[in-house]
Amino acid sequence: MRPVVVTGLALWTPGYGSLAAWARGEHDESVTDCACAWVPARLLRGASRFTRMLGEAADQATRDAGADPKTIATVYGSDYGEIETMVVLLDTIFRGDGQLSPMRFKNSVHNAASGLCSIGQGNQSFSTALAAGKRTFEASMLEAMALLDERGGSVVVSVADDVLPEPLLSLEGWEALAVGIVLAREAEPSQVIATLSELAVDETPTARATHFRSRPLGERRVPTTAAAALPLFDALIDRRAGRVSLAPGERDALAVSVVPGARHAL
Amino acid sequence: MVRSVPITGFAAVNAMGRNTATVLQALDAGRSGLAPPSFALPIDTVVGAIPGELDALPTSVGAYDTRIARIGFMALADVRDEVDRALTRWGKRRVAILLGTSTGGLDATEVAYRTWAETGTLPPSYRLETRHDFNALGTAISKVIGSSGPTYVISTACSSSGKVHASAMRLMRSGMIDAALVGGVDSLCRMTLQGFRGLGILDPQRCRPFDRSRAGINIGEGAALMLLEREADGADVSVLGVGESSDAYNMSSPEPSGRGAREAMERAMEAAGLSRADVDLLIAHGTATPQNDTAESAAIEAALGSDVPVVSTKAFTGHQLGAAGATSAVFAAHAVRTGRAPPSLGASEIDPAVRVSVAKEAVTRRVDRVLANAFAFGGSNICLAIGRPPNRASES
Repeated sequence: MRPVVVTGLALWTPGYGSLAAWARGEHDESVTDCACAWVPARLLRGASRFTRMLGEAADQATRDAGADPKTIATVYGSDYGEIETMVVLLDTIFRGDGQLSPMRFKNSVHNAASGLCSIGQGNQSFSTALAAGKRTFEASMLEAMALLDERGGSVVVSVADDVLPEPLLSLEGWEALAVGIVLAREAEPSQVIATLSELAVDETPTARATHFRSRPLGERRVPTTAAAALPLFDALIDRRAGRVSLAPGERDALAVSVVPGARHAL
Repeated sequence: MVRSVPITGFAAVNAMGRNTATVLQALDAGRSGLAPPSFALPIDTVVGAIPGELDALPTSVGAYDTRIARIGFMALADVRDEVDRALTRWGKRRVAILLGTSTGGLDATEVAYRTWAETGTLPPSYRLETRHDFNALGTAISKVIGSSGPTYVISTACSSSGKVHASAMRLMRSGMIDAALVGGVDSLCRMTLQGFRGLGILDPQRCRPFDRSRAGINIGEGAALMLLEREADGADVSVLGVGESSDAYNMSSPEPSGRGAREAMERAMEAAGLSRADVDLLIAHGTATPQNDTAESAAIEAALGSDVPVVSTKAFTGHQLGAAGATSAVFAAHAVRTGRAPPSLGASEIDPAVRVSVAKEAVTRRVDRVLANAFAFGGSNICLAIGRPPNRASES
């Protein structure tokens, strides 16, 4: 796998509407939902907060990279996807009249964000949606890096999960979190936050470590899928070089070597 | 540089049968597996259900035991020897498991939710992480076969299990893996059946792709798997190329001219180094909805002309959603091996708006190269070019 460069970052979680707010610990109670204002409202009717989280993270990262949202490739990752929409539909089946809303049903697919965002931007480029449990961020990065290896250009990876709905909630400490990262085969040096290389299974203690900084959500092991990105985000924001795991704490996890570039992440 | 990728094993289970041999015999005989559902359903339709009871998972992965996992393990049994050999040859970290699904463990969650609605508690055995998780089947398979390579699910609705072939080829090209077990699995669920009814596209009778009287889809379940390897001496069929595209048009309807579908087919042919004259057969997505079949036929006409035989197999299996693309891939490989493809069942009077050669009779001739389409909600399109490996295409 050839090296790639990071040119854009984004993060959204309730209380923190941007990467900068999260990194600086600037909590804002009013941040409870994603506007996802760049997608026409008619498209978002019936879309879940989860869909908007994925779209928001992709959009913020793309804008941060200065990339073209109409042509950038997109990789969307989530463990449980549209689970909130699914519960609404199941409730209609088992406790309601059984008449499922066509709009909700269309938006219940795992690639709903991929579809809605591509329509909203008129983006006919490559798009996919995947899931890999706790290793979804790792799989999304792998898919994106292989895509860049094949065809170059740039790709935005957006990984998110919303809170798990009752009655299915069974994972303690699960938080709503979305992260976005733009990768490119190459970019102007002034645009490069870091270079990622040597993607491989890494069994060194450093790569296996589950180190989290004391930024919000980082003070404890958060099971949310996208939290697997936080060690990499910490390294990129702090301009730390070294090996970073893409699936912290997981056996045979892939790691990348990080070399900071000219551009600061914040 | 990896271009075409040998297929060293394949399997399919669906409404036509509980193992690959039975499925392919039924396909060759033109025998549909569609039937009225054996379970209570407030809908008038026929479905493609796997016949009989499904065997439980091995006890070592009992926590993952769902209907979709049982279906997946049925298919795995038919390629297990090849998978074990590939793991020995390439190493456990160098073999990926890439599956497509649209429902994931929804069947288990439906049962759990119904129990909760009736009693106020979820069944004690229900765990979100092992029963509902989209990647649960891949995790269970990796535990049983002993692989530790990349294991993930592509879930782009009905194109899911076509797109995993593209992902596997990219991972091979990048040097990350040497082999991949790819495919797709979906199971019958209340939510999908009632959802498609809500969209008004569920046919109460057996579906009739490309027929002028077609009235929508039937839902089916099944699994199809393929083992792809970087190289394999003597392989008689390969994935020659793939083409992907996005409509960026509508969540559930295709772009009417078939632009995205055409682009996927043209990209697959370009990747495989094929011209339209090289294509011997096209296995269509062919869902039997009025809009889909018209748009797809326009795309086929634009990409290939109107002479290549076109077959939809949805009236054999039902639309298996996340398993549809991989099932078409298996049928394509079977056609290359045997020179046989079934008639496009249900197409007795072709819609005049469909200006391609829908095969009303079985295709029995040498087949070197097949295109197989899968299109999805969200405008996600994939086309696979499957055929004789380039160095064997001229063999008689």
